[in-house]
Amino acid sequence: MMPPMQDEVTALIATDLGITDLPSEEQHALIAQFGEIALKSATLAVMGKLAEDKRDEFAKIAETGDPTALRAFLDREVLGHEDIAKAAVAEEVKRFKAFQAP
Amino acid sequence: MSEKLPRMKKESLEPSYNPEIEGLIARAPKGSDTKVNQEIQPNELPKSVEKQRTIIESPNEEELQKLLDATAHERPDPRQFMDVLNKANANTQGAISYHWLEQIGIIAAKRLGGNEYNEFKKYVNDTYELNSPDIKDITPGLSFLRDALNTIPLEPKQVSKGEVITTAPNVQEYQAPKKLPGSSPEELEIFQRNLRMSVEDWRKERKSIGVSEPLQKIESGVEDPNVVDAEWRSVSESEEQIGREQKKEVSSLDGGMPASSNERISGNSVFTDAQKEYLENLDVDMSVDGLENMTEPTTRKEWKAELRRLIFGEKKSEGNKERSEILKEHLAKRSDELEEVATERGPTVVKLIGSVIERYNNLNWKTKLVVTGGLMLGASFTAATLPIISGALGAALYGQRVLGGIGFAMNRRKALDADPNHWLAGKSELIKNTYATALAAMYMGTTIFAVHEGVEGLKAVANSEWLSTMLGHHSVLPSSETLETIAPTPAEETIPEIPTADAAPEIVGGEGHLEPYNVYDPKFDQEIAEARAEVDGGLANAQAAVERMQKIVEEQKNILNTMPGGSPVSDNSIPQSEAPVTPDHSQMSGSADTSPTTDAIPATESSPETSFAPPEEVAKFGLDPIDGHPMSELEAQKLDDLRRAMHDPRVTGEWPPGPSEGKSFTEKISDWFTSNQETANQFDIGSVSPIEPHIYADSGEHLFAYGGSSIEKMDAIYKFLTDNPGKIVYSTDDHGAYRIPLHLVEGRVVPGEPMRTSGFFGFGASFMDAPKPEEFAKLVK
Repeated sequence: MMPPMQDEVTALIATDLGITDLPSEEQHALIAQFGEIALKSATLAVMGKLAEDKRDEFAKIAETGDPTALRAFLDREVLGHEDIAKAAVAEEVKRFKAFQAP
Repeated sequence: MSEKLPRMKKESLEPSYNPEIEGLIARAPKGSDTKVNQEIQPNELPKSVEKQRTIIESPNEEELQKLLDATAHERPDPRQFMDVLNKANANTQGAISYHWLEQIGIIAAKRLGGNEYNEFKKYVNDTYELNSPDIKDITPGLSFLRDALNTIPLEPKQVSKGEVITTAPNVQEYQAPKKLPGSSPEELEIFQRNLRMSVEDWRKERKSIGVSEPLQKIESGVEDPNVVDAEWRSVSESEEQIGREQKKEVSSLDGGMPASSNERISGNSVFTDAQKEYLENLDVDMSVDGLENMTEPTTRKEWKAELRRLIFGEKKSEGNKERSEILKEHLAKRSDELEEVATERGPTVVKLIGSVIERYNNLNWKTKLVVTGGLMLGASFTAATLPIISGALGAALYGQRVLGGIGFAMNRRKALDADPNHWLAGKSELIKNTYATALAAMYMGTTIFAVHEGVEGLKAVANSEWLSTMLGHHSVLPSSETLETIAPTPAEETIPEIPTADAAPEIVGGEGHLEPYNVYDPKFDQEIAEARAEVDGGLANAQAAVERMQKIVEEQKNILNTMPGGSPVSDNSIPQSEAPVTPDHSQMSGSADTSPTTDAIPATESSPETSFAPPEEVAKFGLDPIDGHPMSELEAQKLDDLRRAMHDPRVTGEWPPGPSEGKSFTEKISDWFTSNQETANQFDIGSVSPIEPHIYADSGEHLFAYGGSSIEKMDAIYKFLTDNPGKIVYSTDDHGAYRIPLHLVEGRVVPGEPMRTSGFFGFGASFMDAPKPEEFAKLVK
């Protein structure tokens, strides 16, 4: 069988993270772990732009499980939240790669 | 060996030069071209390497080529070639050149005997056939390889009892099945010259190493290939056991690859002293790569492992483990730092972050990969990559396509970036992404459905998808309406700027509709196949392919107008719940040649109840919803079967269904994600995969189908019931909520009414839930 297509995506991510020379199982573990970091960092970055009272509101909306409302809230309260999230993840990638640099 | 090598700069070497591999390869036996203990001179690489470098573009490909060469003295298993192909595909991110694929085919033909070659060819063919359409279409290289192999004839060598027995592949007569994309005339000339030379070398090699005697019998036409094959196997196994092989040709003392499993090689490093010195002169930090800790491979097995390690980038486990642990530790530390930041921001943030991460950690690997990929690639590849991912997500109902589409689209996108003369070179990122997505969709064989979804996805999805993914409880992706509202496409980058992009949005009847609406018509397959062929011809032809897709879109638009309950596609109020997604799935009806659709996913989102009243001029059995011609009784029956299969009896109890409480397309994607987690089972059958369809049995006699897409599951049911026609298999209705029985009637799978619970004397009865993994006691098939 041809390799599962997730291998292809894994390879792309591993390349970006600079871990292609590691065995696949190690790559998987690191990608999963990095995903957690990226998610945490992006969420923190966006929430960091919210006033404290707005954070509570944000958390409440999140609890409702209504992504529509959540997105509307962010659009209203955090200008450029998409870029903020992206920048946060980019920073984590950069940090991770910098750590590996000789 | 110990003479000083001149110091030279790294830049003077070609980028693909890997001294470590060169060292191994140079010492490995190469038949008549064996380089034993050859010193690596900076300006004088082994001829074979230079030759390969000339015709092979990518370092990975070159390395893989070397792997094949390095194992020239072994009798390769056909599966080894597939393994190489798989690895190459992964390493090159699916971008294996046709040229290299052809090399694989040629090498296989050269290295394998007649029977083995057939075996390999069969293996490739079977792999191609067994792969789901999405996979094989995403990896056109597989079909190319298949074509190449099928084009290489076998030489007729023996006439026995009036039958021509073919033996060895006639590589010399092989002609490329089609123009090789990306191959210059010079490359082709070198390739062909190399091919001819290699065949001769191959023949000499087989004779010289003394393991080919049985094959020589085949070539001389005195032996039945089957008998010889068995004989050769016997010889090979025997040689493997007693380590006789290496004594015939290769002496490990000369630095060659040991041929037996117990012969040891002198020396303490894989590098000669000169090679070490050379590396030092290159200022290579050997500690980083773990080179200094390398020990000598001592057995054939270790040699192979060493080669694999070098070629596939898998470094020694000790070094890897250490590095991996360091990286994990670094990430863990970073995680702690972020938690501290969260703590500083108060308990609300801590709680929210905690729940987000908990959800993430509960995801299966594949979903984590998608989430991480979405975050990562949007940040580090291009700012516009995430819409590509979203476009590929549009095909998530087809299982692995969600991932395959990402990779494929990204590769196409990269190829576009690399071509300054491309007709879209000056266009916006969004348009380029649209183009890449459209190409991916075409390859995925999902007709305009995926094109439409990809384009709509590009228009719709905002980069904050990550937030909805993680914070939403039930919906991974926000609804299309919201997306359209919140993430409008800039006017200057609207899809209509390129052919594919402007076609799809028109069909769906306005902004924000992501519902599938595809209808199956065989002629579209042909159109799409032709479009694909144009793309195969190179990116320069892709514009024509996209235009062809636009034409298909237009034709589909007309078809939609003829759909019962349909309305002009330009009308935003088109009731889409009637429009089925209809992949070709002929097994379900048993004879799909005239049936327009054989498996359907009802289009979703609530819509006004639609009548199914045919026009007055309708024939006795109604009009075909595809082309509008009066149907025969048989056609009408098939259509009715199809409708019943699609029918959700919870809503109306009869066809046609009324307003569906179905889910939006994005919700289906969400379901796909959330359901793709393996479930532990109370019985001892391990985990129950939601991805692979299987037939299970409970502790009694009930049979259940579970796993895979609805199409894959129906395939499994059909096959099982065909083998066991008297059985009943329970599966889920179209919404995956209730349990329905399925049985075989005249070769067709017929669904029954949803199962009901008994209730209490009839009170409180309800429909039974869909089969759950915890019910399964054993795996039947």
